[in-house]
Amino acid sequence: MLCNECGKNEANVHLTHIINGKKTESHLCEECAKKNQTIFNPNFSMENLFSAMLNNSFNNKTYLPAKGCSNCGMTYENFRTTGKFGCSQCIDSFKGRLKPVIKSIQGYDRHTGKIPKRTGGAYKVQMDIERLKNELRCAVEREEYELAAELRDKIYELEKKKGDEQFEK
Amino acid sequence: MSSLKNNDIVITSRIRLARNLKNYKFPIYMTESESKSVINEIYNAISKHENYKLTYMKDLSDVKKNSLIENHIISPALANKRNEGAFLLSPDGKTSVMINEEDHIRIQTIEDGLSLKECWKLSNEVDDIIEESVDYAFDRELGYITACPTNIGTGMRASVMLHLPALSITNQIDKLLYGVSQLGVAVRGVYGEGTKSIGHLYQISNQGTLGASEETLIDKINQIVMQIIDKEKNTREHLMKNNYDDLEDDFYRAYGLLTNARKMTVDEAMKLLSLIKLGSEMGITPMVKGKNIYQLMIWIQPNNISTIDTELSPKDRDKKRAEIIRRELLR
Repeated sequence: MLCNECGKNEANVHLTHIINGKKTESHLCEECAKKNQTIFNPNFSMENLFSAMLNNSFNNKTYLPAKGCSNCGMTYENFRTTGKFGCSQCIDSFKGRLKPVIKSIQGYDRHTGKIPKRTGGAYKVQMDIERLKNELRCAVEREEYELAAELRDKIYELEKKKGDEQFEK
Repeated sequence: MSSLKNNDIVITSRIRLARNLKNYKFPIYMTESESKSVINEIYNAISKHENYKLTYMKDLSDVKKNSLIENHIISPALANKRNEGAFLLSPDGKTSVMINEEDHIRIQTIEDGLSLKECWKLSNEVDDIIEESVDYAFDRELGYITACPTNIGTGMRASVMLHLPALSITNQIDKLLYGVSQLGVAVRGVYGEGTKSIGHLYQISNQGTLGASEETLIDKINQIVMQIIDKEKNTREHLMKNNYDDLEDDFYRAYGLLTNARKMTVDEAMKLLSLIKLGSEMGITPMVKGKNIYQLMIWIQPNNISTIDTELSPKDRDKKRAEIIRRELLR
């Protein structure tokens, strides 16, 4: 029997599907069966979907072959096939390429939830500084120099606090 | 009908937090000695404040592991780990910390009824305790770093287990669940991703983990669950009005089989137990009232039965299952 898909090779993979009591049979050659892996994996999981997206997202762009993660050696290629990181630093190694993919799967690309207490202490100060710097820029643009001076002092205070904390560590 | 509590429809709520240690590779790439030291770090961190019991996967038989899965204490993925996996269990059995599953740490809290907020509070406390002593992998933009990007950000999965027999027997469930999945919510079987629904039990959980706070994610699931509860209640009322005779017959037949059969497969038992649970909640089969049918559904899972007697063949297990059901229902 010839393969149902290509009609060229001998079919040696035989599949029977029963969906809602309706039986369908397909006979495929090894090559076409490989192409149709999803037939064997009807429980398409989120993870499978994610690694599939990784493979599709960058088809039209060419990247230079990147070096692997400096910490664990995981390459982007490897990550693309497994959909899993090797260590926490892989994120930094692939961030540029990852962010659009993460955004497409999660809908967002910025964490707004819990910040760990210990690791987050200095981070929170940093976030406040960034916010104030933004306000300062706006104040200068509006030529509100009095407000700008106030903000500058606040930023100075926070920078000092941040420096002290780092010193204590 | 008016006595119907939300707890009849919502069986349990669960919060799971995924966390990783900064200075180790992720579990799949760790050596055995690294795995051991991760287990020790986490165990020591928790032991400073809480009295959790540590169990290594290597010390458990397959039957025991699968029984823990059936009781929702560990995940199938952890059970597949050999030397490198372990879990910590709180004295009240509500919170477990899986170590070296896909992520270094998976904190999980389960409570009865619709109680995601309470679960979050408990998981959050355990998370804080661990973080006091270990360095978490945390990124300013992307939040908690996880092995799989689908968990990144809050690392939180909030899920609610629902018993939806009326929507199922009236064939509305597929449409409803499809609708729900359009709202960024995942629907899974009882034992997690890729498992089928048995006994009309469904798990609803958040799909995305990034870009919203934990509280917002929980609120969203709560709102969706409340709507599903409403639909299930309305359908029950409709059935009561229009199909009472058929329902009564179905429930009594199910009860008759459950209390008389000498052999029962898990699929048949789950289907029938789901029916008498519904019958009891609708006030049609009063003899089942006050019995914890969901607990019984868990006890009769294959590996839970095998923990009672490890020598049982599948056929003997069906006999044992029928015996347990008769004993519990007629007690």
